Amino acid sequence: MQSASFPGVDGDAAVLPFPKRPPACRDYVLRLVDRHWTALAVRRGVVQPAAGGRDRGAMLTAYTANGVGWAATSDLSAHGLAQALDQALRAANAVEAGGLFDGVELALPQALGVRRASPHERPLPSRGALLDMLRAEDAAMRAVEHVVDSQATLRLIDSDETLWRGDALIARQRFAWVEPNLQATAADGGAAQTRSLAGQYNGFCQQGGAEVIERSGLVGAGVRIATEAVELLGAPDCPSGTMDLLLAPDQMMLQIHESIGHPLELDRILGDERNFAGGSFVTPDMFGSYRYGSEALDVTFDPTRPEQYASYAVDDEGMRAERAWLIRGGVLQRPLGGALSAARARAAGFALAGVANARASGWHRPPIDRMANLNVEPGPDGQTLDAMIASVERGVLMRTNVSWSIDDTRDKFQFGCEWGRLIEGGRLTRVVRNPNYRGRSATFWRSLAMAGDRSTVDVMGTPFCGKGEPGQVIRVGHASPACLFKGVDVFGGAA
Amino acid sequence: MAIDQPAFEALAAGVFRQLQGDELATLWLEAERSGFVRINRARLRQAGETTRPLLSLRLARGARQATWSVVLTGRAGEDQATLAAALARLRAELDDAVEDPYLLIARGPARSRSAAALAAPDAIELAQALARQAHGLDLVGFVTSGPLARAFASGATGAASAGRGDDGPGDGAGDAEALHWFEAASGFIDYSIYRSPHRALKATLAGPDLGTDLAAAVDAIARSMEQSARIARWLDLPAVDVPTGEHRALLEPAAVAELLSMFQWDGFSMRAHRTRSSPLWRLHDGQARLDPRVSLAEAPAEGGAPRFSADGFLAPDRLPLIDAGGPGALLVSARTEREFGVPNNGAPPHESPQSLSMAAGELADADALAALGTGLWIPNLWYLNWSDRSGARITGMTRFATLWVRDGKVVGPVAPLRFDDSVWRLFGSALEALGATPRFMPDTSTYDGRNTGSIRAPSMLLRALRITL
Repeated sequence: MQSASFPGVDGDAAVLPFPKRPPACRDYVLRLVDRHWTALAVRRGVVQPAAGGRDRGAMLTAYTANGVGWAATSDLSAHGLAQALDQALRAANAVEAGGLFDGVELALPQALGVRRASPHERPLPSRGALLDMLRAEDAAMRAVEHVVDSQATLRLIDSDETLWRGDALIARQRFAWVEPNLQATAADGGAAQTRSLAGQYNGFCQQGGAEVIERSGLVGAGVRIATEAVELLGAPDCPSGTMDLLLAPDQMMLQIHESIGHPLELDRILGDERNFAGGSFVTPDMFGSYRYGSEALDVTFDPTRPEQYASYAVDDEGMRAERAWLIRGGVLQRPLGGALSAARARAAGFALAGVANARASGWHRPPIDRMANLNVEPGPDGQTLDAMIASVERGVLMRTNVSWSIDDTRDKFQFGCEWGRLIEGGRLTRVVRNPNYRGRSATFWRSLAMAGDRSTVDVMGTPFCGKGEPGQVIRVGHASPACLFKGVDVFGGAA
Repeated sequence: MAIDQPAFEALAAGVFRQLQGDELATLWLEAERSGFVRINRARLRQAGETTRPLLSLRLARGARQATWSVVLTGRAGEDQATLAAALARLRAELDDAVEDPYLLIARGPARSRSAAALAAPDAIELAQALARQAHGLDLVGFVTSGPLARAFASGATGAASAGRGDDGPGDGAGDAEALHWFEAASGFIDYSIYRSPHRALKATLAGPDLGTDLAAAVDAIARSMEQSARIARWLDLPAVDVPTGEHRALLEPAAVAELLSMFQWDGFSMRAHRTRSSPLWRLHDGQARLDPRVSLAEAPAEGGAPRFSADGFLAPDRLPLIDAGGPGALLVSARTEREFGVPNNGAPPHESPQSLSMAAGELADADALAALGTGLWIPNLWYLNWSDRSGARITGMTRFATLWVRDGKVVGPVAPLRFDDSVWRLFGSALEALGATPRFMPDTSTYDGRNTGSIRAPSMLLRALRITL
């Protein structure tokens, strides 16, 4: 990823009046985030008003011998930054006095001097051209009979993020995030059904330029989406029973996220999140031996895939980001824990290797353990989608997440999809609506019979992963092949 | 908070002075200074402070409009320059913008101010007090406090001014046509005590329960810890296995609030109703009714949220949303007024209730366990979602100190259970009684910023709750 030149990140981010380190402060880290966003939308034939903005500010993180504290400010003057450092130091002293980090080796980040920029194959078209594109898809959806609501949306974010230790550069990274989507609701009589491009919460999102929109398949998809919404109106509810379940990547992303990603977050395992997001059914002693899934399950933490939504070179604690296997051959290998969490685990007697996943949603929130890109790898002996369908005697193919719920230890889950299609005798048959399934993370992945080959992989993600106190909504990526599970509890809708 | 009312008014005046021709501008401010402290194992885990004044500047010319949001710095000169640049940017965007048929902004002089005198104790001091009293316990929690503000101002070239108080229109160039200011000092303590890895109880202290100074907060924490100790004893009893199927259930107000929060997800939105995206569309179409004891209102006057919207319209003090089990009003934003031709009622753009208030019933707290008899006593629900949105079916989990009760006596704790049941049953055919003592629960979510929302709800006794996993 690194090379001599990166568009937009070669120079200094800004000339900041770095505050002088107070004597009681071991050192400090300054994180500057300068983020521009634009939202384009056409809804029911009407171009929505232009909206955008700039969100710029800095976080000062103060380190003492056994404490860390933070303060965030939008006042980037010498006075503003110095005041924030004083506040951060007060917080660090309070944390140190509490003693939670006694015996924990608090390592400071190194001045790596890393620079990275999102890939950018082709520049985005003009705003007018983008609106024309959205208008065309919205019109295509509205033209389908029974469609009562439609929207075509595109959100673009450009974020320039720089991390210093004192005034020494750790990393400067520039992200270009692209979030395209289409959504249609059809209604007739007593039924209403909604279909989207890749989930109603932007399951398709990547880094880059115009090529992201092309890869999303948005152009020309309006008719298909609206037609499928209407098709669901007349479809029967998904049948209930224990059967095979074939999940497309736009549902696999949610399955990975909720029942592998969150339970492996080390701060949850250490108990930080138990008051809000919850703990984990995974305990520190499981790493290295616990059978998380069948032998077909290989899972990586991969921040290096250029276009994937949560790729980066350095995390927000200053740790260099590298690919790592979290589950290999079904056996749990390592957690999703940043430098601080890994140090805490070591102090507790668990020699766990972490990954660079300490991330903050913005300048106003401190880094915590997040899953970044978490991918299920295609099977070395994986099959095509057609071959996987042909192997199923009775089952259902589900596409596109619409509902998700899981317990606080990330074990008992229930997920639903927008679209389902029965598989009978090795062939796709009827479309069914309201397809749902439930299970337990602790056993579900052991029923993974087959991870599809590379032809079935899609690079998905979501801009909306929520966690933390204070709350943080962050971007994550999930690439996955289609996956086939055996003997799953499947059911449909209706009250 | 970085921005107070005089500073906001000065920024607004600076913008309005620059307006040209038939331009109209609005400013919408969401500002907070928040101390945030996390606790794990009764020790401070993470502490810090955020100061973040967000301002959205909207410029309209004829039927065209555009909005640009910025973060203010609190330094007047720099903020004025930022807004001047934003205005220039918006002007250029309007040159290329298409007309917006749904543009609607409140016009005419208007002015309001709501400023609570309540002070909030310092977050770090609160957290340290909580940690001291929890010494020896496995307590994990979150403390926040500080001031927050919401404000709206509108101005146009040559517009009549909102004036100053009741003294009539102002006469200076740059005066706001309408100006609304809301500020509050608020905070909460939200904590859980774990008796074992999977057995915990939850408590929240906020508003008057928390007190306005540290000494009062320390007393409040002590009282809360005493109540928690009583529940903790039940958590130490042997666990009870509860099979799937239907069980009687007593839902405490916090659990009921979780169910009601699902209605905030397009349940009372006129736009969602008209586009068949509302899970409650059958109620408003007259195809379904709830139990006649179920009445719900949007009541900002009770909840302590600002009444003005980002379009400058004022919400009524109280708007019935479900009336004796039947349909009440729907929330209508300014944009929806134009799109569907229904008068707006001051609802925010997302048409989600901010201050839901559910009518109480007659079941006294002291009689609740006896009335439950044998079944589940559920203090909290967790991670709810629609399992069939069009069918208004909800799935979710029990969480924290859910207990099994036999003949009105606690038997022991129950592992988290999944339910999957419909609104029509939970608030209809399965509803046996409503508690007589509603509880006020502020919104403790802090995604992107602290909230002013709240829910007031009583407990609910259900004849049957469908447990599925």
